[in-house]
Amino acid sequence: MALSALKTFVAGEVLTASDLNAMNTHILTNPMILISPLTGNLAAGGNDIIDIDELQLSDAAANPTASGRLRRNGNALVWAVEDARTATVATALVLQSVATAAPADNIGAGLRLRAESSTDNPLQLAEIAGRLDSVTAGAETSSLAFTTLFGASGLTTHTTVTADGGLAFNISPAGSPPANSLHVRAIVDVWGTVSITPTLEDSFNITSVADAGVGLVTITFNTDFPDATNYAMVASGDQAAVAIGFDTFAAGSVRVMIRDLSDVAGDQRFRFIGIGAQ
Amino acid sequence: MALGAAKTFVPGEILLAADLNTLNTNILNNALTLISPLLADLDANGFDLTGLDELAFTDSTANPTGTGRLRRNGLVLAWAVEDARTNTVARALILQATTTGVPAAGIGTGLLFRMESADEDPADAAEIQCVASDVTAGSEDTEFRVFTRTGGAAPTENVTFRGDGGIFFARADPATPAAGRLYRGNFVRAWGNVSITPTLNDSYNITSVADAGVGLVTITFATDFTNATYAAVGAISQGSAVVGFDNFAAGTVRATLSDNAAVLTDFSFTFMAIGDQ
Repeated sequence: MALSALKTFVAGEVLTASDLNAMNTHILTNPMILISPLTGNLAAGGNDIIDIDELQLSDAAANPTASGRLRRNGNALVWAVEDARTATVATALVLQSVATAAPADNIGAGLRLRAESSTDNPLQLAEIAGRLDSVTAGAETSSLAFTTLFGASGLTTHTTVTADGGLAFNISPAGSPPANSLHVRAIVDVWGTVSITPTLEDSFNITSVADAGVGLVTITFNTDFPDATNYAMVASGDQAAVAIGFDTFAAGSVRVMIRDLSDVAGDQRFRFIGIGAQ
Repeated sequence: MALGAAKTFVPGEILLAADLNTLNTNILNNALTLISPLLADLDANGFDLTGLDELAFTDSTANPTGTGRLRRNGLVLAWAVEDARTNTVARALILQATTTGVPAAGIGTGLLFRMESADEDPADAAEIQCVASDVTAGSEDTEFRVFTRTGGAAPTENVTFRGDGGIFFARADPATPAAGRLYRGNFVRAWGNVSITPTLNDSYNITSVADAGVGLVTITFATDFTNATYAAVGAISQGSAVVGFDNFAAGTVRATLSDNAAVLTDFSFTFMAIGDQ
């Protein structure tokens, strides 16, 4: 009993109005002391608890005891649920951030991670955000972006899983790239297999190949490079003794030169790969 | 005082049973009015709050005031903890979804992001799923799958970060790829550095290289291509000589090496291949 009795009556005592009033008022004006700290579980009975300032969880250092419970395990806030599935994924946490205004393209919801630096407490460390690239009814398209701190740029979108099945790299690091890291400039931007005709038999990001003369083929890119000097092309022929070079570099096209080893132009099947600063 | 007194007695008043009962009943029947709204912090003292429908937070527009506390900062629900670490990662949030069944490959736990579209409120937009691709005791493998939407359909698997260190692209390449994006179709699938012997000095996704005659080397892939129209390019580690490729098959390709007189000759060479797998 957290709230003590204001008065304990004794046998034969004359009951006065003031005692009764005081006893009643004592309870009515001290409800928090009456119930807090709890001496047992408090069942909300399916009702809400509203207008909370903070919810402080004790450190249980153990899993929640049942499905649908939150518990603190050391530093971790654990939300635990249990169902009967065996080989499917349960969505355990939903971050929902809707709008009172009319939603427009790029509306999103994020999960922010904070830590602490030598100067910032808290430090905005990183974020994972889902974004609707298109909010058009029946044609919604979404992406998921990973945002990290990048020097003076602060929080910057690092990589985005895009709806078209791609992984967009939003940062191009200066200087030496770290080992075993994939960056935007290391991605193959174009490739193709071209018959002697020339006909494009297989490719990525190529609009067309066109005969530009004997031993000459113009390759036109689907998505262009920024300019004529920021990409590299390599190729091999279909047989020995075929030398292949490239010239007439432009943002949207490049020309293939096919020669034999006596420097005589001639049409041949070839395959190529291009990489640059798209 | 949230709950008013049912009766205030006056001196000399005759105490009636009805008055006492009313006084008592007023408190017994109005427990919530008695305590709600709270007048001070409620100390749960290590006990649980159960049977909750919703928890509604006021907007404090400030960080939680201590470790182990949840607070609402505007639209943000902030879970704040503090420890003494200096350069390690604290696991601040755990999503745990266990099963009463027998777990099998494919079981997982997801984090869903919702917002609002022109006609959906809320709209499921994207999800990160952690999936166990192998639940075998002692050899569990897990992966992160990113689900996004396209064309109004529900979120589907898009890109997966696999436990073996790879990134899997679940969707076919777009007709017009955007600049600077990595898709299923634009990364190298095999490469190798081959000595004159021929011996594979180093490689990726190559099972073997085999002598197929003077100036001819058959390259066998570990994971095959889906067709024979992939691209292979290479170079010989000597000037005035060239390498070509023929006999394209899903699982093999042949390198043809010639000197500057177009005579098939053994050379060391390097190569790479790209295409559909």
